[in-house]
Amino acid sequence: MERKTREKVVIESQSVRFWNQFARNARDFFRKLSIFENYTHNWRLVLTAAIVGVLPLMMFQKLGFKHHQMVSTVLMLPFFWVLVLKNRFRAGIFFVAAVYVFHGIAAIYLTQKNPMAMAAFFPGGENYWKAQIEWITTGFDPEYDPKNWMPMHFILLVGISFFSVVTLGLIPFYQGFFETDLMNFYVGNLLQVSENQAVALTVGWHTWSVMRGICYSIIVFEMTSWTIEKLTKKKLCETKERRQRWVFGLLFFSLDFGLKFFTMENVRDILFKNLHH
Amino acid sequence: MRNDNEEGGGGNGWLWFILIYVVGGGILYMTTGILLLPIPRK
Repeated sequence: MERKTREKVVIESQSVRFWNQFARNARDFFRKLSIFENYTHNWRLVLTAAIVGVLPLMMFQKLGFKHHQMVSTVLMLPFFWVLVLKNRFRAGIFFVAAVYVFHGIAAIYLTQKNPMAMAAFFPGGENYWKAQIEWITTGFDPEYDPKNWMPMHFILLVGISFFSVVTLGLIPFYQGFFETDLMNFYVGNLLQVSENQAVALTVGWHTWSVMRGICYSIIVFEMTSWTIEKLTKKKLCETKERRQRWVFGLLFFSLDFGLKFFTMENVRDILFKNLHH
Repeated sequence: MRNDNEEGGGGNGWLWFILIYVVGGGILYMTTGILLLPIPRK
């Protein structure tokens, strides 16, 4: 009995030592990111967001390379982590939004100019566009049936939270580029077949999708911050602040849900009437 | 002996930290990503 207790103590102390070493390594890693901090203030943050969001796409489509989405993700992470480490929540959300907005402008512009050529750079984009235009013209899409999309939204919420913890934002942001590019490619194509470009752009990029983007920016920031706090064993912010972020995140989640549920038919109607007939 | 309040681990530990994290996360994504990250119609 005594031997068993002693073995248990040894295993526990080894485990504590391992996690302490892991925390020291994590602190080392995050301390090295301070070289990026200069680029996270004022106009430099905007410029960084533009470069991160646009440059890989522009360069890769010229050179014929794919995977610009992963490159943009990897480039944005160090700056995002710096903002998380400094607990600069608003700047963090602004930075993420700016990266995706700049990226979206470039992606829609390039798609509108040459949809055929750009299809190769947006995986799944062509099928997505076909499904969207069919829904706009016929109103038929089984995926838009609430009993199909509602469970998916909840699974996505769990998935994004989980991958924020296990990849510190890498997979959620990559998924973000992938999903927003489906939208960007579809809107780029929609502009070509629509009368009023402003209507196609603002209504085509559904408001509920924008709400989802804000929701996940908040949740990824919060979950990454919480994970870094646990990994490094250094407090980044108060529990009250974390709770508030979840409330905001879930508020935008509900807005996504509600707007999609109540305004989907109106959106389809506007987009349909705006098509060239 | 080091204690938990020390600042960093020194050496290349930081590299191992990020490698473990990225590789581990990548494996989880390949195995469970398809279940946990559905793509709802925008």
